[in-house]
Amino acid sequence: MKCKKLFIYTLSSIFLLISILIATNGLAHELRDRIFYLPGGYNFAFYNKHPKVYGTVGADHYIHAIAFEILFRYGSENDLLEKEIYDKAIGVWSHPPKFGLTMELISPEFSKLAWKATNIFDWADMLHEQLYDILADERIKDKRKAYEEAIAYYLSEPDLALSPDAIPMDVMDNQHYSGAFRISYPKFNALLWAFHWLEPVFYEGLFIFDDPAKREKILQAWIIENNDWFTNPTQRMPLMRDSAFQWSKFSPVAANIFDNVHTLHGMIADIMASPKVKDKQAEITRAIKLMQTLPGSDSNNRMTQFLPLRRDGSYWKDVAMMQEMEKRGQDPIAHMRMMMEEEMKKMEEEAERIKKIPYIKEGE
Amino acid sequence: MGKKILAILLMLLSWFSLPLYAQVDFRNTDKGRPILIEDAYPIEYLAFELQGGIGYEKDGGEDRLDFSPEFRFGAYKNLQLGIETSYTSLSDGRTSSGGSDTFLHAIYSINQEGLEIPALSIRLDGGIPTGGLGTDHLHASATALATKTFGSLRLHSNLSYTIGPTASEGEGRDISRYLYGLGIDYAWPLRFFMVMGDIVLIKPIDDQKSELLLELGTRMQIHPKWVLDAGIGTGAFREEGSDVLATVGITYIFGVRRISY
Repeated sequence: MKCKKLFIYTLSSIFLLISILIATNGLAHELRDRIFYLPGGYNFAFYNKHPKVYGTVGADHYIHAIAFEILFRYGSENDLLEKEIYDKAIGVWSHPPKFGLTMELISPEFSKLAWKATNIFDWADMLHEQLYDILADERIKDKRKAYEEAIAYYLSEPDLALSPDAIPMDVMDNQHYSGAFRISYPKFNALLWAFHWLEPVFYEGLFIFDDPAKREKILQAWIIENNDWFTNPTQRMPLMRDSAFQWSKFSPVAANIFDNVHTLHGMIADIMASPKVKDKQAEITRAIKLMQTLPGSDSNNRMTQFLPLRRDGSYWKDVAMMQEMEKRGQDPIAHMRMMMEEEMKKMEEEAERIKKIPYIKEGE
Repeated sequence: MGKKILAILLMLLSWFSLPLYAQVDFRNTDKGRPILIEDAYPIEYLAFELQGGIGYEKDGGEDRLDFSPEFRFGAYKNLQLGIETSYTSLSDGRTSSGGSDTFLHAIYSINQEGLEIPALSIRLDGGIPTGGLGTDHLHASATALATKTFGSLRLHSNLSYTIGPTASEGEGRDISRYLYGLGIDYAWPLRFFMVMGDIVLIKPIDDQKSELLLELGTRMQIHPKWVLDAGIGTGAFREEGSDVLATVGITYIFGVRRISY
């Protein structure tokens, strides 16, 4: 009996001590801070009307989350992401989960390292679901008002929300760790970019087509097309405006938020993949701060306009070149940025030239 | 008492018929659903949750059937409040039935699990005598909850102590003077399914000999709004424990603000 009491007193004391240390900030810690989604008449409309399509969004969440988990568990120099985990990810994509997934379920160890990032991605996924639901529910007539309310709810949590401004995607390529993930894991990176194309086209399909049957048909067709994007990716990361042109005009703030989410994801993937980054936690915190506070600019619009997505094999050529440059100790990302800038300038000059061509009427 | 059960059922039905919107996290375990040991996480801020479970217990010549509804909500960030009661039917040669104590609880999450420290929470419960098969006194208990994750596997520890008068023999089956338990669960996230088990040492509030309980259970998400659970247990390897325990339950989580356009 004495032994039992001693055991219980010891445990209680340990618990109390840790609690006091946490409460007095003697032990570094984060709060859980989980928040429920905004209840609305439209909740689960996307799931109810397009369950298979909804499942692919779950697969998308899985694939994004598993990359972080593997990099954290096995370090930045593992080949799992390009082999076993890549195959598993394709399996999950082919047989998607029935329901939505939280990041904590798929990347429990990474969540311990960077809980705030996990919470931020889940909060953004909550907004994704709300906005898909609003579009999928024909009963919601004033979609703009519903969108405004859902976005306001998202932004009402400044610790979890990313900036609603158009933070230039360049920020992803301007860090000392930039490009690490793409160079080390080009196959898996192509998967992630494919979903950065698919997510927006779902918005575009739901926004443009009113008839649920037509929507289902077009969304299914895009799911099939997405398979081709895994092996034939675009030369740069797709932005929301690239493939959800009309929807991005309807809700530029939502488009900005999701571009910022994708940029942050890219930055964290690079941080986790880069052997140069020793303190991953601190660097992730810094990346989050950037994506919450940097001012917006017209840079992403310019990129969409003058550097259209190309699927001509240049992704693989670029990756091979970057790998080679890295071996030689050069800065591959700086080189890529320079080439992209040159390409954009050429396109801009061409657009200017075309503008100056006088309009010739028929018969003149 | 039959009217009370009917009233509870009608209340539950009225909840389910409202236009509620929900999403359940099957991994967020709760006390008694289906095992006693719970994780150190409260439900999300602004989430509401309804649970109902039916439990069966065989203890020597006594059969006991419980219906236990529970309502909880995320009252603030990291803070859960809840209320639970149960209605029991006992058969030990003659049949008696009645309500047990009603419990109000608060769970506050102190921290999110980090690389070293586990997730810790404090749970406070207040027991109010509200039925013939409960105690005659108010009780209050404090529970320390801890959760540590290892990939898909999690370990939980719950340690609880109750203050309040000692109950008469056989009363207050839902209250322990102290309780210490270790739990374990393993999830298959893509199947939205988990299995769990625990071992719990309980000193009953009626000052009878302590019991050692072993439980196994499972939770499964069957819809974005619903989670099913089922569990079995036994205390049979100690003279004082129950022979067999079994429970099935369902959880429904929702938000209550409806927006129409």
